[in-house]
Amino acid sequence: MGAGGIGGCYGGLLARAGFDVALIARGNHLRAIQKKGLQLVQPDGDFTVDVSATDDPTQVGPVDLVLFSVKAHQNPKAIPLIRPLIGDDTTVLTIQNGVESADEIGQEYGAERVLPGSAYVLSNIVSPGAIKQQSPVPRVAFGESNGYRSERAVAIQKAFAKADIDAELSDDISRVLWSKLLYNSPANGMASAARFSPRDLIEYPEAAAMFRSAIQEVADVGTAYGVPFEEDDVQGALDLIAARPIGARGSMQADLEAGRPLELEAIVGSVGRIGRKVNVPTPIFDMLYTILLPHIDGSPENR
Amino acid sequence: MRIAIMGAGGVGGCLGGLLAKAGNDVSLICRGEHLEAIKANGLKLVRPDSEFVVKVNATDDPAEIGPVDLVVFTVKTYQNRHVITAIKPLMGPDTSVITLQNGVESHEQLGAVLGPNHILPGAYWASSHVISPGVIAEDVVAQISFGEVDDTESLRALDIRKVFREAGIETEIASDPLQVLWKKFIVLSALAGITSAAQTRPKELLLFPDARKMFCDAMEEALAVGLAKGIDLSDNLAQESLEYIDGLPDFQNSMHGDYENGRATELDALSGAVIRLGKQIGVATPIHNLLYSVLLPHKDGTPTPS
Repeated sequence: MGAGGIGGCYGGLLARAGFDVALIARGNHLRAIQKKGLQLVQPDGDFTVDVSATDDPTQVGPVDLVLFSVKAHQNPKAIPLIRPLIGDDTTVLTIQNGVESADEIGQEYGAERVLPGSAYVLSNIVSPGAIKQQSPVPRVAFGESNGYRSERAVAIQKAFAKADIDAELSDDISRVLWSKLLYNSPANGMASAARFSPRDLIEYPEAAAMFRSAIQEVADVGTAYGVPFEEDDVQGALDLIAARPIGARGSMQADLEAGRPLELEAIVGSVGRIGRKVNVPTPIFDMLYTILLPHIDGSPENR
Repeated sequence: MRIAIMGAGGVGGCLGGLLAKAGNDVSLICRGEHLEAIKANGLKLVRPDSEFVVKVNATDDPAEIGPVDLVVFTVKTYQNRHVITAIKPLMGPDTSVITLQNGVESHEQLGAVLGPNHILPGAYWASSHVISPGVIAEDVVAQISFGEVDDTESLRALDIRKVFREAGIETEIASDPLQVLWKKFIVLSALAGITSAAQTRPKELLLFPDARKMFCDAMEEALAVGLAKGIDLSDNLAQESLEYIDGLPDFQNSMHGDYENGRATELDALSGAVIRLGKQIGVATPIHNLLYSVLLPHKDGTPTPS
């Protein structure tokens, strides 16, 4: 569900490995896949795979696994849309930004169906029907919310491995998601507000201090929420931002500069929202949210 | 009166044109195509309800002018460092310098180099721009307020006001010019910072309740710094200023415009000054800290990744 840069990359790899994959996509991208198949350009070569594609989940019917990879701001529309895909034993694996998607899907279909996960791959649509995977090996981390090594989770891990996707089955998936939030939210929030890549922004001492304070906010919220972070984790997140490639824009920064809708709620708003639940103030994230809110739906011509 | 306008762009050029038309001995100091056009064709001023061309002396070298009665100092604040020493040839024993710039530090920066007794801090409310070389459009009739730092209504201030008023410039002598500068600074630093970071014009941005609050809180921060420094300011300034901004027609803040067009910005004289002065006096400025940190890469114009 959501066969864009990330969903399309994983879907293409799973289809090539022989799994019965249906891509749910829209517009020109969908038409191109239906006509010519999905092309995946990888660092070491490229391939095209014939794969079922539609914009209507009722044409697909119940499946074993829904890989839920729409942009987080599309959840309110996309979650009800997948109902036709849900059968008695369907599992929904969410690989999205933020830490709230699994709960949002669980509220609609039952928490027991949902496996939270996180994608680690730089991949985007380069033209309709063609996706460019920039990271050498696409990686995904996922797990049962209760940490059990369930049969279904192991089966999914095996399927991913067969498709050359590096899949980590985590016994603490909540921590995995929060660990991504710890660097991703400050990196994207600050870079978007500055219209400047995280790695280049952190070169300025005033900005570096602000990054550290922003990471500390996420760490404090996570700790109060039940995912404890230490000083080393804060430093680690700061190091990750400093180690990004020069000029590499954050995903939300790229969306902002292109006038597209923003994952502002999942990436920035979530920190303040959860902070208020656990009584941890988040002044920096509140300000970043305020500054970026006028752009949440993209520029008028893209709405 | 013998007058030199240091920085004959939108504001300085407008004032210089009006003062020259009224018969004063005016020299404009500016650069490049704008200078060449003024030398060749005179300065054209397009006012809300009229326009005129005036022949006026113009140069990029203050030494060609020599000592004057009055220097009107209207360069952008980020040029202060280079320009202040460059105007020494304009200074005689009785030369007055009016600073008409954003921020609250210029009069001290000029005073440190030229002697504090020469300096009269001032503020302007204007919207005028160089629309093509040698041509300045004045959208709103300029108003000026200036005065002596020590509160006296001096003879020189009265002379300057007379000359300005005779040139048709709305001019007031402020008994407390620093209060005037701070009132403008508190609104402008908050507005410039938040609209530049949000890349959104005030009218649209202030529709968002969170942004209204952040704008007010940013003004409160600068107000707290001003009060701690002993400036005489109303506790209610932020609310009054919000109502004032709400009442204005749609406009773009000038720093936001500079940012958007890839030009250098006055960030250091605005949010930068709130932070710097707050640190000196022990007032925390978290909002301006954030605004400054995300605007910093654009301070000298559009940045390129290192």
